Parts: sequence; structure tokens; C-alpha cells
Amino acid sequence: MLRAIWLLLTGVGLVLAVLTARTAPTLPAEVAGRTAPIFSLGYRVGQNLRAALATLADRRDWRSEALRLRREKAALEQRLARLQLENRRLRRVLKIRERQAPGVVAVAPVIEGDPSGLFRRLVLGLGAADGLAVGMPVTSERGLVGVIVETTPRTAVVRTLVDPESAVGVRRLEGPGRGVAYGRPPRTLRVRFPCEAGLKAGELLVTGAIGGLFPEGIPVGRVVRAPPPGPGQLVCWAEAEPRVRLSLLQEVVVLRRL
Amino acid sequence: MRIAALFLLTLFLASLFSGLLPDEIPAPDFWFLLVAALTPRLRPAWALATAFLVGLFADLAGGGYLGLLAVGLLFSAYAMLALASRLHIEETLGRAAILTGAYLAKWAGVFLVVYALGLFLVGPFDFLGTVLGEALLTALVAPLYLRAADALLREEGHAG
Repeated sequence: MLRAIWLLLTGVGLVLAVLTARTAPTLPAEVAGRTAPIFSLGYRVGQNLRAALATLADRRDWRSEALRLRREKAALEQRLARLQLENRRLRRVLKIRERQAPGVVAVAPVIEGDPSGLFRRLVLGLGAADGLAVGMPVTSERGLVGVIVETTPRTAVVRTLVDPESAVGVRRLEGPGRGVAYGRPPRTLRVRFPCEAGLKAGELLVTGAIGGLFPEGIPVGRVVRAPPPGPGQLVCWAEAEPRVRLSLLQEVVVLRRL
Repeated sequence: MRIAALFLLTLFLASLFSGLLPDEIPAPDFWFLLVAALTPRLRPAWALATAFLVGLFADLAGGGYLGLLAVGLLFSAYAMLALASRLHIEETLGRAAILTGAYLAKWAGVFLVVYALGLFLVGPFDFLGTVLGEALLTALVAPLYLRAADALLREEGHAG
């Protein structure tokens, strides 16, 4: 009996399915449309719950996203600072290369200054292993720094132009006359010049010795005092201030030896 | 009266879960659970008719093919009646076995209608995810739903 009912209802179901699928395909859709309001309450509640859960999840995501972005920002800021430093350094190198034609061997960090006060020397963070050698001129963006006088595999010692042992061949930027600038600690230069050249305070001196250690035209210093020559005096002494601020140097450029 | 309340609760839960779950996750089959709750409490013939009508309503409300769930739920009710005579529905394990059999029978009924309609647009393995997903979620909500249905219908029994 039960099986008969089951078979009967199965038959009814199949006939219904076949008939409505072929002859009245829109009927279920019509009924669904009419019964939709009955379902809408639960459906809306479900959708709202889902939206609320999604919002909660989103908020958690936002927080982690914000943290991630903050970390990324900090990393980018660091990178930017590094790149700015690198950019500044390269600009300086470029400027030096433009002004001071000889090839750049290296850009070396200044890691130490001579603490004795007697000499004015700098220690660089690069050495013979990096291609540095004794006799190489050392410059900076502002002007001549000195010359390498000693190297180790990882460091190099620079005798600066204000060192008492330093003597740099100089000439006036404009006008004739050549002389020699001797170092006078702590931070001045004594310049020997022919009196007839008429050196005046304020004039810029650049490297200019023929066959000297340094390439031509690197700014050395500015004359701050040039006493008038005495009668019959052939050689005059002037006082000059180096262009480069040794105490502020962080990096220097080492040029190829002439 | 209590049966009507259970029907409304089922309707609410079915629509709630279809709104709650994303499209790719099939909702639990609350109509199947309604049939599972009603079948042991009705006379066998009435149980089959009720299952058929519940399925028909679900087909109409869902806008699908008429007879698809009607036959599916009819099969599940029939399987439940057949298994209940052999297994102990009062025991948890027996009840789980009966429900599993009934659930498989539901899909057998659904596929019979699919076959009759010549709907072979989807392969059997495409259905596998739906069947398993729905089965899993149905199994998850089944204990709660059936307990609630038991409580509701028992009260009617006491009242009657």
C-alpha cells in the first residue's frame, strides 16, 4: 500500500515536472514571485547578518592593512632618505667630475680626524683594497681637501691642505700669477705669491702648479688678507681661508693620481 | 497548529541561511529536515503526501522545476519509513543512519527527475560539491533543528 502511494506520487511528480517544464515553464517563476514576500524577512535578516559580519571582517582587515601600510611607509621613508643621500652624493661626484676633469677613483667616507691638533689629517673608510693609493688628490664639492699620504688595505690617511706639511701650487682664478699655499693649522693657509701679481683680499685661489700633484682649477681658498708689499719686496705672503670646511666633511672624492 | 509553526520556522530558517551564506556555499536543506522531523510523527501515507507537498512548495517558492524537490523529499520520506522499520530511530546512531539514508534517497529522487527532464547540462561531479556542501551544513544544523522540532511537536502532543 505504502509502496503504491510512493509510486503514485513519484509518477505524479515526474509528470508534473515534465509537463510544467515543457508547457508551462513560467509557472514556477510566477509562483516564486508571488511567494517572495514570505521569504523576504528571513532573507533580509540573513543578508544583514552577512553584511555585519563582512563589515567586522573588513574592519579587522583595515586595521591590519593600516599597520602594513604604516610599516611600508616607514620603510619607504628610510629608503627615500637613503636615496636622497645617494642622490646628493652622486650629484656632488658629478659636479666634481664636471669641474675637475680627472676620473673619480672612489667616494670615500671620512671616518676620523687627526685628534692631535698638530697635524690636520683625515682618515678615510676606504683603502688600498679599494684602489686608493698614496699621492691621489682628495677633493670635495667645495674644493680641494688634500692628498693621500698613507694607505692600509681598508683605510687611507689624507694630509689636508691646512696641514703644516702641505704645500699646494695655486694660481688666481682670474689674472696672472702663481704661488704656493702652505698649511697653517688650525684652519688657514699662508700663500706665497709674487708681489707684482697684486693679489687682493677676496680673490679665489685654485690649484694651478705645473706638473703638481693636483689637477688644474680645483678651488683651494679665498684670500682674506693680503698686506701691501714693502719697497723692493719680490715675494709677498697672504693669508687665505680654505674653501672646504674640514670639520663638516662626511665624504670626499678621491681622484686618479696625475 | 504546531506543525504550521514548525513550517514557518523552517521557511524563516531556509530564507535566513540563503541570505546569510555566500553564493558559492549551498544552504542547509531545511525542507529535508522538516520532512525528517514530521515523517516519524505522521501516518506513513500522510508522511509521504506531506513530504511531496513540502517539496512541491519548495519547488514553487524556489522557482525551479516543479517536482524536483517534491520527488526528492518523497524519496527521502519513503527511505526514512523503510529504514525506521529496520533501525532504532530513538538511538543517536540509528537516527543518524536513517537521516543519512534519507538524505541520499532525496538526491536519488532529484536525479530521477533530472533524468526524466533530460537535464544533463551539468555533470555528476559538478553536483558533487553542492551535495557534499549541503550535506555537511545540513548535518551541522540538523541536531539543533531536530531538537527544536522535537520540543515544538512534543508540546503539541501534550496539548493534543
